[in-house]
Amino acid sequence: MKPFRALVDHRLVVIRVLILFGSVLFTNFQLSGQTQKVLIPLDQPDLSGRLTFDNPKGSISVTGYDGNIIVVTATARFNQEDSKTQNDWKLTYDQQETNVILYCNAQGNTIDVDIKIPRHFTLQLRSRDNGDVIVIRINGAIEVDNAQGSIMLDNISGSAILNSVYGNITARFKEVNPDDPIMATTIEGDIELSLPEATHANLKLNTSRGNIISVFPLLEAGQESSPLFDWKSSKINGGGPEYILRTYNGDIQIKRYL
Amino acid sequence: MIFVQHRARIILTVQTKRPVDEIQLMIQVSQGDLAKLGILYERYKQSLFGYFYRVTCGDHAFSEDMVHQVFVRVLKYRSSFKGTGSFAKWVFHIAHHIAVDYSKSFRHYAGPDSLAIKPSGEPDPYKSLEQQEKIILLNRALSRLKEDDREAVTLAKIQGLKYQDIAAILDTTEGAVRVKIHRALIELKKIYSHLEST
Amino acid sequence: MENTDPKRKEIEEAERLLDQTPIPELTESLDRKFYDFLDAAITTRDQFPQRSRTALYWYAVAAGIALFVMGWLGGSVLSTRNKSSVEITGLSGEVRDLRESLALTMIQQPLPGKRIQAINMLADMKNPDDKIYATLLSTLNHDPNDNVRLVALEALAKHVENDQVMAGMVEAIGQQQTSPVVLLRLTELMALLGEKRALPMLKSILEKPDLNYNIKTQIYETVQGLS
Repeated sequence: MKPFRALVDHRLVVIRVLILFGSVLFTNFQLSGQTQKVLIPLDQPDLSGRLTFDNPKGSISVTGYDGNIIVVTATARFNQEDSKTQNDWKLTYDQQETNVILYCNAQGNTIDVDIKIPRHFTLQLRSRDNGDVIVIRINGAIEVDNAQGSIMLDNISGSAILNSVYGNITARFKEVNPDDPIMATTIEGDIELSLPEATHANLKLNTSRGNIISVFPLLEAGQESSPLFDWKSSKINGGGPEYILRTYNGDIQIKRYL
Repeated sequence: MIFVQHRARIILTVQTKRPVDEIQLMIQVSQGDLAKLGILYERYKQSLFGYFYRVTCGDHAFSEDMVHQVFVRVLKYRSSFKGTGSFAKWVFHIAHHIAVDYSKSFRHYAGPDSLAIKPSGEPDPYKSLEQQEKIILLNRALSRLKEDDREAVTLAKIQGLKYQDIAAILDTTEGAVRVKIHRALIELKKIYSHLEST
Repeated sequence: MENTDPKRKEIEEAERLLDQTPIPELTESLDRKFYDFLDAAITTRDQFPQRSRTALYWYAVAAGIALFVMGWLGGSVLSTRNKSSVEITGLSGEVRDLRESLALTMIQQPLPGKRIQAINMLADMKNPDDKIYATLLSTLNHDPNDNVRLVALEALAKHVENDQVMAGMVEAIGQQQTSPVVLLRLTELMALLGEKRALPMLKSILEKPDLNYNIKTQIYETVQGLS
């Protein structure tokens, strides 16, 4: 058995190299020294898909559309201190059916990445520095980590788990999933959540130094017996999954999606 | 109803950081990051539509077209956005110009007799008959106001626009704008009551 | 400016009229029109000639099909890369009931929303056993998503009378290098509980160089309060 396995592994390594080479050759365009474009075709565009992307430095903007190619455009931000941005930064990706992992080998540059993707995709996005994360018109589940910047979601119809440290979070839902939780947590920043009129949910809100404004009535703390739990809570339309919003230095607003 | 809770005192409005975020977004758009215009479109499409809908006294299809025109111009004139005022003020300034241009040259709003129906021709299923009648009545009342009064009361109801912003948009002083709005509101109420009773 | 009472009433009524009369909903076609327009503008900005873009599109499709085939062949090896990095330690023996086993499976799902639902299921169980506490503690220390860790923490905080839980929470203070918001909440809880056992951990964290200002303040105050 063992020798056979070794042979299979070797072949798979070769295949992986071919895939990477192929993906660079056929779907990666250099538009200028500063901009690169990657086209990722999807052969089964109706299947649920997932995109994962961790941008070490720079913003991420995702816009959903009705199509079957993922279009990624990355632009290096001009660096004032050192007038030439390094040109050997590169966008690459791994694709397994409809699971795509995007990589940006930034070489110290700040790279702003725009992504056009089918609306049903699930997203797992992270920006580590120097940029906002923006998601528009997506129906799949959204997960965002942006420690140093803002998170802005708009016209979305799924669920969202959002985390920032120094940044505001704005999430505007055109529709919500009846079963999925929503969470938004930040330390220095405001949180705004807009929900459709007919949402069923249990809201749990807390800010240590800030104000809470909600168009839905909020119950006083003390509904829970312990002093450890200081949430302002509210059942909207009879209750449903938990929507938990937490900030330390900032305000929380719950609005109606209009 | 709005519920506000704060440890020390009740306050009625909160200055969130959203206007600052929007200025930053538009500046990024002006520097070439066009994808970010999507967020501003999503945030303002409804209030811009509301503005045109009231100013045209209920022309739904036309109002949608004009919303689109606003963003065409936002993109075209993006480098003129300096961030000295809010994005709301800048975008409604553009909207105001479009409304004025069209009213001068076209005057073909469907007008107050257009029913509260969607452009496809079917009645809006989400609005009850009573609500639809209210919409028609309001459109009729609005049509009997002078154009600039109609604009003033409409702008006064836009979230994110302060009186000083409206004054800048209408090229007048803040004091004059307050007077105008108050007088126009009284006039509107009078007309509406009169129409309601007939 | 004059503002007599009847006038004010009329102004308020007119405002209410404008507030309460609905504006019709926008049609989908407006969105489509805008995004098509924005798309075209972006394409123009990228100055990519229309013709060669079409040719390249077909190359991309062909490449995509080829890649898909190769990817499918290599699929079984590649798939081990994408598993969630959540590690569940110390799980052996029988599970109590179907719900518990479902939750324990769900907690390894790639979607954080599902992991949160799993935690809520475990938290809702009456008489949780050591296995459940261990799972929650493991999530608190190892989950790649901070929000999931927070939910685990809130679930654990309901059982602080249990020694295993309390000791685990104290230890967790040292496991939050990538999760400042969890560290903050843990510190807050230690202060509320008056848990002196947390002092050594908290003091050592105060010495770390890049600590977030809010956290530093909270930890400092907590250390003062507990000492």
